[in-house]
Amino acid sequence: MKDLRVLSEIALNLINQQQNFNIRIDSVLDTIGRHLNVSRVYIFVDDDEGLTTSNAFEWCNNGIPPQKEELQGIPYELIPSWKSLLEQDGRVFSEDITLLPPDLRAILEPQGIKSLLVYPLKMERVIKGFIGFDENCMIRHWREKDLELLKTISGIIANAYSAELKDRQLKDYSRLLERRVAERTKELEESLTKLEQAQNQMIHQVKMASIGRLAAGVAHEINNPTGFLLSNTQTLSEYVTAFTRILDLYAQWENSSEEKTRETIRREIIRLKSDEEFEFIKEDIRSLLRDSETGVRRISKIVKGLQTFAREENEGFVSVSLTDVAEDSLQVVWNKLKYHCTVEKIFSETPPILGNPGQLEQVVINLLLNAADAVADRGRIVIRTGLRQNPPAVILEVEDDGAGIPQDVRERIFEPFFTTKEGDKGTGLGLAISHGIVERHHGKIELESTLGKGSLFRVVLPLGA
Amino acid sequence: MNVSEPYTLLLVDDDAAVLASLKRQLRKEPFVVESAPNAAEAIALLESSQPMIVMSDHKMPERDGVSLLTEIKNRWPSVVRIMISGFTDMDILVGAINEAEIFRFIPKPWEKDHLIGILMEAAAKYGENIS
Repeated sequence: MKDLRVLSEIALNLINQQQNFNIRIDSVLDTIGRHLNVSRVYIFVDDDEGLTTSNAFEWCNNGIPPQKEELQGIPYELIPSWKSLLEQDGRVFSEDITLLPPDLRAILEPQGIKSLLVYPLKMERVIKGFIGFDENCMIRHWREKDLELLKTISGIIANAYSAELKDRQLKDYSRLLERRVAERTKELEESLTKLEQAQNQMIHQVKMASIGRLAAGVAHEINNPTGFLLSNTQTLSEYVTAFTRILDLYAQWENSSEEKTRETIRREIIRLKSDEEFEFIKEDIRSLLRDSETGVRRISKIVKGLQTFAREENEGFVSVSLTDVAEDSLQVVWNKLKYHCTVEKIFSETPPILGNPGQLEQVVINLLLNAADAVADRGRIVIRTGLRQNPPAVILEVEDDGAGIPQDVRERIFEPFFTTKEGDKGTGLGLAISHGIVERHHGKIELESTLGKGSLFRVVLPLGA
Repeated sequence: MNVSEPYTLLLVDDDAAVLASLKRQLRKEPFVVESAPNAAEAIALLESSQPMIVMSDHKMPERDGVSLLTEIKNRWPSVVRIMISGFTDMDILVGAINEAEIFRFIPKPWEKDHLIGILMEAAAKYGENIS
């Protein structure tokens, strides 16, 4: 084969990206080996620090034993002349290796080498290994054109090898990058999870704190009626005992025929009635029962309020007009309002929103009743509906010309069980529940108040929420 | 000094049903009972004549029981002060004990025997206070 054909075959082989690099190199070594009919062709690659070198590829002619396995991690320390020859002469060239320095002979002679030619593999001007050709059968006299050819081939292989290494580095780097991205993503996901957990924990703690406050409030609100219910039940038992004793005497009196006995019983009845304050308990038993019934209703109302307060799901959401809700609510409370205040309606067309009409009605009724309480005897309540832009929302306002709300009350007004109303008049749940309902509708309640002039509660419900 | 029956008692609670139930329970006990629905009316009554015992709720609109009983302690120290409340909040108890220096705390709901027992002790305490 002509040298030029060999060269082109090698070059084509090396640039054939379809094939694995190792196979390409093996094939190139095979081509050279056959063309020059040498004993061995091989490539050594240095480690990253350039301290040792290893046989990476080897081609052996028929009958020549391979050396690849033996020649791994050879320290340059053992063959100091090798590198200096490669660096200074640009090759190690010996037609008779017995003329080489002893350090090289010590490693070359056991391999049965008689002649050898080695070119450095330079990548970016640094020696990264070498390509060599051994002749084991004879002292070989290399022809000048063979030397030229091999030098060229070494250059081509060095370039290809360098490109392959860069490609591998690039692939390694991209894998590293992918791994790092994956690691970072995982880290980020983990910290996001931790953050979410911390956030959930905080929300839970805040919830628990408010449940704690709620529980304290519930305890108080329920303990009060429970207190008088228990007391009244005990009293009722005493009343019943008194009634029974008196009735027993009446029965005795009825069954007795003897006038003297009847008179004694009659006196006994009069005495007992006086002792037991019969006339008083006869009247009082009605108010005792009335109080007790009210007490049970109060407890029941608190529990019901709490259920509404605790409910979170958006059940029963339908398309609803806030103006209709306002109109309906006003009808419900009209009888309570009409005697002690005037109510002015200023309604505009409001686009429908998604909400629970019953719950929204509860909010409006609550605001109207609060306003009625605020105006006391004679006052004026204005109920308004309308639209607000940026962001688009429907609004409902309930304004009164009552006493206004002091700052300290304003701060706590939406707290459960916070009330300024006397005794059994307020549960302190009305505005807390209203606040909860409006929040479930993604809205808010705004409050404006001036002492001595009145207050304005504004429900703002976003459109499209 | 032993004070003689009937003992005078002022009840303060904004819940009319509570006042009524207490009065019923004390109907046949040796107490003359007056009541007030808030701190202001209680003070007004005290200014005209002082009972031996004041038993007050804590949570009332405008002015709470700790504040009322503290004023009573300062103005009429011999009047024995009792708090009766459904609130068992630590802060309130601390205020009742440290500021109002109450004689006893009765949690709501209460038991009649317990209540009467405490009121009898309070009457005896009043005797000590004035001797």
